[in-house]
Amino acid sequence: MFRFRRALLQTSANSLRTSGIMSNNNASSSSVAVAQKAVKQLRLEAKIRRINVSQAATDLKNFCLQNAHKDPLLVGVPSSDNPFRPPKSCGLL
Amino acid sequence: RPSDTLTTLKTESETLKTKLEEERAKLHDVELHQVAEKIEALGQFVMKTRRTLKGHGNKVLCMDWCKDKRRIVSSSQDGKVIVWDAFTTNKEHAVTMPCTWVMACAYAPSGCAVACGGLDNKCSVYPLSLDKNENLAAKKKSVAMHTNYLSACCFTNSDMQILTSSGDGTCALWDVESGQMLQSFHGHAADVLCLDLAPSETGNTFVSGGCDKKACVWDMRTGQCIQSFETHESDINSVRYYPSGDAFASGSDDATCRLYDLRADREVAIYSKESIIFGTSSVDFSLSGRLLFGGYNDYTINVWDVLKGTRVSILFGHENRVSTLRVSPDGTAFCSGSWDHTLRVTNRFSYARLLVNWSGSHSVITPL
Repeated sequence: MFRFRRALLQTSANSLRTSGIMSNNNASSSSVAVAQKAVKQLRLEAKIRRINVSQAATDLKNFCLQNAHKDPLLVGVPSSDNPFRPPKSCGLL
Repeated sequence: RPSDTLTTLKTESETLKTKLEEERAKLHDVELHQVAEKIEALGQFVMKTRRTLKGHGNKVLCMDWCKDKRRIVSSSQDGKVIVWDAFTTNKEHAVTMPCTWVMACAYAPSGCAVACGGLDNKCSVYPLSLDKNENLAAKKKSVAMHTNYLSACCFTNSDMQILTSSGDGTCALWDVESGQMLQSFHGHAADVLCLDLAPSETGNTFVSGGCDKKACVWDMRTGQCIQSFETHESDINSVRYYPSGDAFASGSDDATCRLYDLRADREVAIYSKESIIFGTSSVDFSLSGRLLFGGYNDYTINVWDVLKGTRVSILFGHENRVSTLRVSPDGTAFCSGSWDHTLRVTNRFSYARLLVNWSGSHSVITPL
């Protein structure tokens, strides 16, 4: 898939150029438009409100701990509650 | 602004990027694993494959769970899309697509339809008929049209809208009934390889990852990119939201998985080992977010402790690359699909309540 995507990357790069999204080879006016878009986007991203990693990490930790008991892959389930337990087969002697 | 020149804009671009990194760094007061130091470490993990779904004639590329927690849709390089009952391993439906490399498939929330696409550059919806004899292909509806391959698709909160990502570098939101494009998302500089919808409580956003090594968070209503993250060193093959919606994980060809917190606006953990050198193709969280499952190109599945950053288990079994992995809707199991043509449903090994198996005069406790 990796090589497959690389080959397609070339094709997609070509199709993007024709549609004008990537315009390395095109007229300078569209290069300016692309650069203007990039600056506008960066200004937007710079403005967002952020919290400390310590706060964010604590919230992630608390979510995990609060929900741990109902996480079947974490705590395991008794076989009787396991919908994927091996199908029971009865052998009649 | 008429006075803008390319050079001025590029300088401003660089300045803004540096400023963005400075702002993010100011709030980087601690590492996630430090906050998790006092938590009890997870014990030894034993997982067992409960079902192996055989029937695809070539590489399995994608799979998705139905909300009923038992049905699965999968798609393959050979153009086949199969709907399975994972409890019984029966195949309930099969469709042959008019193209090979069906890289994307998704189950509709109602359970009454599936969407799929790949090298045909489209996303098509097939209503699932209760009549086994009915030809599903006859009712096929073409919804999305891209100018390059379809890499991922998912229904939004209803059967009425589909979100797609494509090798053409864009994502798009479509109305299923009319096939109309409702919104398009531009910003990636190369193929978009994956996407995931935010949990419904968190609002109308989704995250995408691409060959430009960027993960982008989008506002579905405006088409705006809200946040972007560029710390991976290669293609991002998979993105998945943390169950609370406050973070997302990514898997990349750079052999790492990473966790990005949306409110801190930065990468907060890297899941890697020197011994892991093959790319991650797909990632998903367990229900509580404590575990991160990663399917890798070296045929293994690594299970990570999300908080402590350590690996808790490595699972073998597939005989070729793991290409797709999803945890079931109720978190009881996960399904992995592989280039070995199979899908496997795996969950936690647990001892049965006392199970006695008479063997002659012995009583034996059998772990399941």
